Amino acid sequence: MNITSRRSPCAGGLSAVLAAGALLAAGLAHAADPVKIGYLIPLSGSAAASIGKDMSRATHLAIKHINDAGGIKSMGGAPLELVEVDSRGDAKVAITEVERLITREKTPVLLGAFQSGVTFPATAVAEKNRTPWVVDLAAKADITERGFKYVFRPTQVPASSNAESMADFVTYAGKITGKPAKTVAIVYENTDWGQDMANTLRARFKAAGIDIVLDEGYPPNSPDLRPLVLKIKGKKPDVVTVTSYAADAVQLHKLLAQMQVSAMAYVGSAAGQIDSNFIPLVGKDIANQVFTTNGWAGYESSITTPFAKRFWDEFVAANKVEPNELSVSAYAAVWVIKDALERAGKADPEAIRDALAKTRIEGTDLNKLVGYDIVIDAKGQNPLKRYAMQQITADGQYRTVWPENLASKSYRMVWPMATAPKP
Amino acid sequence: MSSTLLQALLSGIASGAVYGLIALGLSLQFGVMKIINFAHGSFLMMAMYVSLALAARAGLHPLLTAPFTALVLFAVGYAVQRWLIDAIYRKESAREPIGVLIFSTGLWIFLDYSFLALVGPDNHSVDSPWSNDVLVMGDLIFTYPQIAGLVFASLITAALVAFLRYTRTGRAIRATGQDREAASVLGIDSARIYQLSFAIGLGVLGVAGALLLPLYPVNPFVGDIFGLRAFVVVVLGGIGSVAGAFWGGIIVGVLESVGSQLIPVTYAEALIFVLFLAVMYFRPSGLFGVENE
Repeated sequence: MNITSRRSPCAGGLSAVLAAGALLAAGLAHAADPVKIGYLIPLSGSAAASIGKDMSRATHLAIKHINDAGGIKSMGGAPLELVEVDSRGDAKVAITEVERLITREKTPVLLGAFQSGVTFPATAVAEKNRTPWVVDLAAKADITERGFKYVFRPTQVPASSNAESMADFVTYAGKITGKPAKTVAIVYENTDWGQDMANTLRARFKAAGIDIVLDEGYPPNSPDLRPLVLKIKGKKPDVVTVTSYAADAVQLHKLLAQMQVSAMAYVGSAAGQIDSNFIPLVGKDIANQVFTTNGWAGYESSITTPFAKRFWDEFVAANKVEPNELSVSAYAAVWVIKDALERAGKADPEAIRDALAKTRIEGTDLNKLVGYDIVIDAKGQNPLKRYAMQQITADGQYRTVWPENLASKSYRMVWPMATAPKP
Repeated sequence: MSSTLLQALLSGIASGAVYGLIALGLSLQFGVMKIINFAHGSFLMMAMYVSLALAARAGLHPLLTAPFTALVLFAVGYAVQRWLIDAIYRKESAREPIGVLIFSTGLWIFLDYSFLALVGPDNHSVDSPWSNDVLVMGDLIFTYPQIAGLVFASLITAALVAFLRYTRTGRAIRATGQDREAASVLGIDSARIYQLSFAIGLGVLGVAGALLLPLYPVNPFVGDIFGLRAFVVVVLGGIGSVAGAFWGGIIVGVLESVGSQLIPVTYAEALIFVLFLAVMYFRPSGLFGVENE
């Protein structure tokens, strides 16, 4: 009796079904539902759109890298899917869009929105709807001072830290060169970010005994900043601090040069002065010797691992500009979400929220790229980021000059500026 | 201190002249056709991009792009009036042209976002060294673009006022603005006049764009602020008075510049609108406007 031959059709059929079932199951595992990330970023509305565009590119690059490496392993290789929305730099738009992302798109986690004036109100909507939000770069202190449970800021510290660095550097430069600044003009865009920065600058300069001869906020995107610069010139400050987004920083620095406002230094607050268009638009002559804080120490100190190199090379190849603090922070924020998703194991807002609250990323390639550890405290804030001070050189490079442990070994800062810059 | 104020006054006049030039076209359009064109700022943005393209690609000196931007905007104005606005205007010629107002609002948004899609959100500036050169007279410093702005804005305004006052076509335009029916009884083709005035309005705006580019970087939304300013200037100077728009611009420029030296910059901006409200309250036809001009 040929048992096998009589049984083989059924056995063959059964094994075929089993094989098909196994393949199907395997297929399902690889085709795990994507995890949606709701992403708000300004892509229009002139104040911050050019910065928003750079950050968006970096965010997309991170998504690509994470998905290429197999997505979220603990969720069966689920890929990340970015649901990107243009905030237009407008809080009202952002609030409506956040509601839509949470209730209609059902994104279990949100990311964004660069500008403090937009992020501050939009995160309140997320908190009300119990959906976690990872802040990419907004610096307004109160974002993590409201006792909220769903808002996390791993890649940015409150503006006060940026402003403290500016003031502390001015004191340091005076001491180390023997040519201290006695007076300062504080100029800032008058929305949330600028006002926050100004509050700290005011207090810190006063504590350092430096006289504030001008303290003036201006509306961003003003048609004509010439009157403001004329005012600055009239007060003859030793140092001028410029807290502006891209378009205004360009206008202000050009005007400061054209109107021959001589000062020991112009000090920027990251944002406008580190935007990739700043040097091309003002020209190397005007950008030369400008100081600016930077939340990222630059290529020399940070692109030291294959992970970082891949980010740098691919960003430059795709976008024809180099990454800066803004794009690096955007890139890193996505990896923080990835880390939390791995620990949460499911695309559930509460689980993701709990995982984010326990974030502890230390000593990894990501930390080497951004220059600091990422540990979330009870307020949802990562307090470990530091701002360095850089100076732009005559050939358009940003060299770190402070603090001393991060300062470039091969570059000596120029303080005071050689002469009033000739345009 | 007083040299600062003098500098502020002169700089304010220079920037005010450009504001006036920007508002000139708007004033003409409103005076003749009684339409409010909310897309005015967007056309300014368009003019700046045309100037940028010519300066960057063809290497033209920024001032030399002005005739070309004027021509391009003239053509655009003619086309927009002839094929878009006219159709809507005709349907409501008996009532207030609300349809055109709403249409121009949509056009504003459409143009801004089209340019955003075409050229991206980045700011662009003209690269010529001329834009940063300065003329120093004692304590006073002026950049060449500022001087050029003042000189050419004044010249163009004078030319336009002369055109309207002394040429046959100019008088036809003013007649149509005063009373369309009476004008057509006299044989003036109002359709042609509308096309011409809209086109001239935008042509003048084209020159303003070329003058503005060396002073201010362009991005797709740059028109929003200037467009708003233009409205204030037009209403302040007097609806329908082209010369009034120019002087209104000067007043706004001086107020902004000198005011900023004495009070915080943000309040100086508010001051402009306080003046605007005051003029509206006490003299609704504007400072130089005539009721039915």
